[in-house]
Parts: sequence; C-alpha cells; structure tokens
Amino acid sequence: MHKRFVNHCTIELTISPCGPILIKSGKEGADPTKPDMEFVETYHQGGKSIYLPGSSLKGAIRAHAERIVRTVGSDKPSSKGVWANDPLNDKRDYLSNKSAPEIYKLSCFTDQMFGSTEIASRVRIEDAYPVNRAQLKIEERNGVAIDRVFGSVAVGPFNYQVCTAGDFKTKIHLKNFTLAQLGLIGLVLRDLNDGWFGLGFAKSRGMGTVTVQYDSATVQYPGCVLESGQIKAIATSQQWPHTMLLGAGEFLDATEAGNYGFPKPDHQETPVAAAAMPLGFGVQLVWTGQIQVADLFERSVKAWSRLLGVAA
Amino acid sequence: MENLSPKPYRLIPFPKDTSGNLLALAKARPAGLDRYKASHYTGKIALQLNVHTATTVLSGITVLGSDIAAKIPKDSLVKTAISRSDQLIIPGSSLKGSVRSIHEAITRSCICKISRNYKLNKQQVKIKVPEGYRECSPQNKDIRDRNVELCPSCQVFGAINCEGIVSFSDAICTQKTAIKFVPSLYQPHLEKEDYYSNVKENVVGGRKFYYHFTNSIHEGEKGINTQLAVSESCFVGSLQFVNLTKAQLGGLLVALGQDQNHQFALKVGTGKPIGMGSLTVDISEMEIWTRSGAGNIDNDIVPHLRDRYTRYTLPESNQLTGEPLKQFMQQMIQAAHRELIQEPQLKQLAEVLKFPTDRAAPSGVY
Ligand SMILES: [Zn+2]
Repeated sequence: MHKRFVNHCTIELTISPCGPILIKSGKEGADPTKPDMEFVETYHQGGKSIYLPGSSLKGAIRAHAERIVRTVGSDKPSSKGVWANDPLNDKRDYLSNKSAPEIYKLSCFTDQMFGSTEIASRVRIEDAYPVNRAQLKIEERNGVAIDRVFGSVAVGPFNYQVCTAGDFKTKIHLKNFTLAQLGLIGLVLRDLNDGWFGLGFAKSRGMGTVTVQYDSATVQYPGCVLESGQIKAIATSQQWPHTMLLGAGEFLDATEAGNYGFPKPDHQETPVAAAAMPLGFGVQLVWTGQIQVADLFERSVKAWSRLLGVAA
Repeated sequence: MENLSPKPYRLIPFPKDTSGNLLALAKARPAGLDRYKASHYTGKIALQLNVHTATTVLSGITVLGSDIAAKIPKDSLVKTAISRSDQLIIPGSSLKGSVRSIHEAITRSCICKISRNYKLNKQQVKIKVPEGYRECSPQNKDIRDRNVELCPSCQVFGAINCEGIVSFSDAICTQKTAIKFVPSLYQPHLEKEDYYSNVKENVVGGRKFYYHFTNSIHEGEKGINTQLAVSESCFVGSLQFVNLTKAQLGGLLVALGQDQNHQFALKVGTGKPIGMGSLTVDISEMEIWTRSGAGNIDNDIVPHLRDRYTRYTLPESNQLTGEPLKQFMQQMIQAAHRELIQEPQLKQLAEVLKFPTDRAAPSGVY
C-alpha cells in the first residue's frame, strides 16, 4: 500500500487576513532600525515578499484537527471511534515491533494524516504567496504593557510588523486519503474561516484571523481509466460510476484495507463527473469555486460522521 | 509640587480577609486549548464600544498636518492613531489589556506587569510586590507536562509560555476621525507614597485606575494635535473564547461592565488622566457552544459541539440575542459572584469606573 498511489486530492484556496496577522521570521531585533518582530520573507516571482510558510499553515491546521478529534473522540488509543495523541509527548510505544500496516492502523487519526516519527505525512501544504504584492497592506504596530500599579509603561514599546490585507494562494495536497480525512480537512478550513483559530503570532491578542476562499478541488485516481461512463481500476478491474468520490480503501481488497484499517466501502456520490486526466493516464474529478468545493466537503463530512457513529 | 485638584485616579487595594491579611492567589490549572472541554463554553461575543470621551490608540507615528487633513496648518504636527483604510482602530491588544487589568483587580490574581525599580536621588529603589502576588511565570517544560497552576486572570488571558483562552479582535470605528489638541502628560511619579502599603519597604498597595470624567481636556500650554475618535462615535469588534467555565465567562462579562449591579465604562488608549478613552460596552449577540453533560440547564439554548463537528454546513443562526441572551449572561455573572469575584474590590472599582459620572476632568498638572 505504501508504494502504491491510489488517490490524490488538491485543494486550491485563497487566504486573506481579516485583521493583523504575523508569521514571525526567525531573526529578532538584530537591526535596530527594523521592527523587533518581522514577517517572514522570501523571493517569489522576481521580488522579495512576505508569505505564509506551508509549515506554519500545516501546524495550525494540524493543531485544530487534533482539537476536533479529541473533542468528538479521545486522546488515548481507542479501537472504536477516533483519537488524537499529544504528538510531542507521545512516545508511541504501542507501535514498537509492529508491521507497516499495523503501524498505520494503530497510529492515531491525526498521525495517520499529518505524519509522525513512525509514518509519513499524507497531507502536504504549499507555501502561500500573495496574489498581488501591491495589494498587501503591511503595518507596524507597537506593543506596550501598562504597569498595573503606576500606570506607566512597564514593558515596551516593542514593534512588530503585521499584514492586514491581501490575498495569499496555496494548495493543500492529500495522498491516499480516506473520505473521513478529507471531511476533517473541510471542518478545519470551515473553522479557520469562522475565526475559531488563527495563524501565526499573538492569537490571544486577536491576531491571525483569516478568511478562506475555495478556488477549486481536484481528485485524481491515477491507476484508473474512464470506460463507457465508468471509472475502472486498471490493475483489478473494479469499477464505479463516473460520479463517484472514492476513498483509498475502495482501491484495496478487503484484507488489505482491513490490515491498514482503511474503511471500505468508502465512497460518496457527487454531482461532478470524472474526466480523463491530461496525457491519458488516470481519471480526475474537478470541483470549481466556493459552492462546489463546499459541496465536496459536505459529502466528505458524511464519511467522517459515519466513523463517529453518527448516521449521515 | 502637586496641584490642588484631586487625583484623577485611585488605587484598588489587594483582596484581604476579615482580619486584614492578604488573600492568597486563587491558582488553578488552565483549561488549555487542546480540545473543547465538557461543561465549558466556547464562542464569540459581538462587542459595540460606545465612545463617551475622545479616544485614541496612538500609532507612534507623527506626521505633518497637511498630510492627513486639509484644515490643519501645513507645518503643524499631528500624532496619528492606529487606523486601517482611514478608519480608526482599537487594537485587540489594547482592549484586552484594559479588560484584563479590571479582571485582575476584582479576582485574586497576580500583579501581572509592574516596573521593577525607579531612580530617586540617583539611587535605584527596588519596588516590591506583596508576598505571593508576583506574576505567574510558568516554565515551558511545566506547560508541556500540564503541571502548572495560574491565577484567575492568567488562566483566562494567558501568561508567559501559556496562551490565553480569550482573544479580542481589533475594534473598528464606524465614524470619521477627528483631530484635537491633546495636552502633554507627565509620567507617573513612582516614588509617590500613595502607591505603597508599606512605604519604608516599597511594597505596592494596590492597582491604579483612573476615574471617568464628564469631558476630556483639549487645551494647555504644551501638547500636540492628535487623531482621535470623538464622543458619540462607536467601535465594533468581537471577542473569541475557548473553554471558559460559567464563572470564567461571567467574570469576563463583569470585567466588561455587564453586571447590572455594577455597571461601568472601560478606559482605553491614551490620555486617561485628562478624561480621554471612556467607552461603554454593549453586547447584543453571542455565539456559544458547549459540550455539557446530562442535566445541564442550558442544553436547549446552547448548541452542542458534537453537532458542529458532524456536519459541514451549520444552521443559519447560532446567535443568542434579546431576552435569552440577557438571562444567560446573568446566569454566568451569578456563577462568577459565587466562585470568582472579590466583592469589595468590585464595589470599589465600579465606583471609580462609574459611568455616567459627574466628575469634571481635573485641570492643571496631570
Ligand atoms: Zn497570574
């Protein structure tokens, strides 16, 4: 299973700050003419620009996914329902001397998605770059802490750089995913857009809230072809209707799916029809724009809810 | 030399028991952000801040008058306020600081920020805080091991190495900005005796709060034109919270001046001694979620988090408004009075922050 590549999803989205956000660069306070805390910068399309590193986006998305899983499930290993460990403190003794399928099966839901010391991540998030550097609004803020007894300045002023407007585009990739995993990503992105968590520095000072706009989602089945209105797996001759969203378990036989703990069946009907991928290999479904991508998440969340024992 | 007008502020003493001994900080484990906890509340409060006296949070940038307003003489300087697209802003951090300092004073909380010393006759004088009232400063390692206890304010608003569970958005002014003269203010004199409960030992005696006044002062010999929001304008913002207990949510509402028996206004931004920065808070909407156990009385008005996380599209309106909101807030506030609030401190603070007021702003030296 690890070497095979059965399905893949790419979500393209635009992230826009709704207030100040700051993703700190590593360097601090070296140059006295610069703010104490600066936004991370990189070279992109021939110029220097601030950006949202994929690693910070992934960190924030993972933390919220864990929060959701622990809320509806458990924080301890559990054979039924979902669970999420404490990724930094979990020594993962329960994985020692286990086979590759067992390691995947015994890992918690969020380790399975985002990776651990034992298994590779299935989620990859690209750096988010500004669509138009000229539209970015970058401000300098200064923070002071007021002395509680005397009313004078107790700490500061310290300066920090924030971005308060602009559009950043990025892509989230999921490889060999289950529909429940895609559903959880949908819930996390919905909550990010609702301001339930933020990105970057000083979230408890109200910073880091953003809106999330879905541009498109593409789901690909690389080992399949489209034949007389059916999605057909080349290796196994399994087939599905051409409007079917398929989780990884669908492509495995029952034994292999069971060994890894992939749910099977794992499919949802969708209004989007499959098409052949460019160059003739594989099949893909494309959801375009906010409403269609939201509909994709709506359907994936049904698979997630079923996992929790809630009838969809 | 002090001027003769009364002091524009008062110190709220630390909480004491009936025999006059300081009460220990009410430390407990912070709720954490790693999950939405059962029997706790998570949600968002819409805040409307009504400006009663000129209010501004300065950006730190001074510009030539002609750069921002035609009516200001070309060569005169103007201190600018933090703004976005020509709308003034109260940053979440300023609002949070103001509400937090009230919360600290009315609960058994640490002295979160204080100067360490001052200079008198070229000598450094060390400032002391009362025994046990030093700022909570958990080590990173203790946070990781979930082995830490914090005072009530640090639990809610955060401490070093430990993120808070409430966050204030920037509040944005809905009206046009104005420019007014603001007289220069003196720095507080840290050696003044009235700051200390034990003058000889330099032990501080309470927390300083400025009174509200009927007006703010915009004249004087020295000063500068300043960009600000005038009275009767209003700022709109919000407050997000995670995992608050009933008493914690109630305590936050009390600190926002929402207790019907102790209503007051906040002081935000610059110019507090000269009557600036008086704001009252209106709450007309609250989105609230819980993960409560059986038998919880609010189950029918507060939606369950499990429902939030088993469907993608949420019901159109999750907002608590009108009478149900009022009742819910009073319930929370009652819980805060039972478990959290120090009544004498709240009473004294409500008197200092009382609004409306008939105190006229002091004139002369500030
Ligand atoms: Zn504290």
